[in-house]
Amino acid sequence: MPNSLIPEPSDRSLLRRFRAGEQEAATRLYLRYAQRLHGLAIAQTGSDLQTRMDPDDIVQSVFRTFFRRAQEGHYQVPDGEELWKLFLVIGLNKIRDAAAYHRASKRDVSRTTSLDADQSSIQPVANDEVAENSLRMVIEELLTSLSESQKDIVILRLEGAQVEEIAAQTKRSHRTVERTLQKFRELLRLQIDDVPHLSKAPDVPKGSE
Amino acid sequence: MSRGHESIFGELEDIIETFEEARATGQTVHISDFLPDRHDPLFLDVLQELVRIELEYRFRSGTSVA
Repeated sequence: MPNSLIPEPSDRSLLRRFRAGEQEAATRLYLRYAQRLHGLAIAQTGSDLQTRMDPDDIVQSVFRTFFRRAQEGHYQVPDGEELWKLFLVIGLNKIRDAAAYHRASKRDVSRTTSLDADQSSIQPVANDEVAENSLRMVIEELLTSLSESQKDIVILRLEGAQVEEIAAQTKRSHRTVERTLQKFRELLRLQIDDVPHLSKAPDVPKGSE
Repeated sequence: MSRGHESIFGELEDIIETFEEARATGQTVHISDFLPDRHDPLFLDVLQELVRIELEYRFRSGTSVA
């Protein structure tokens, strides 16, 4: 059978194989997403930052973070889903952090560039919208790994419902609602550990628990 | 009790979810039916959590805890 007729393994399967110690699975994931990440790194930085930020460094950093956290068991890929959204979130945040770092050092060592020019070098990552979108994507990604009732609990809370209401609607005890929200907050915190600027974004609101 | 696929929140939550789901569908539940083996490291944690949940339900419904 020609190789081209053999279906490519899914991301879910590659992640499972990587966790089982198969380096080949890590290589395949790298080959599958490195180029897209490289393109993302180029697209998200302006011309002056491109001379200071190497897109390859961003790609390497994304994969280092991904493989380390995957090894720790942090990521889940539902059937039929891709890891791209996750790489996108990690990538955007690496770019944003690197851009902030370079922008700060640029201000220190040279005052010849105007503030406007400086800010224009970081295209869409220079506003809160990206942080919010990233946070939303992380939350959506996490929600896919929850059971239906856990998902309902978190969504209702995000919509502003109180523990009492959530318990009644989901037919769960208050204790379970509070415990689920607590666990979700912990999980969310772990997921955004690598992206410090996201930690300032709104968390799942705490209720009366 | 058989152990199925473990969710991202871990096995303790899976057991509690099974218990809650059974209660939500109006089944008569007995905590002992949901406990792992007595020697299981999760035994005490599951027992403690299920007792707390059961007490909450009974307290709210005015049912005796005896």
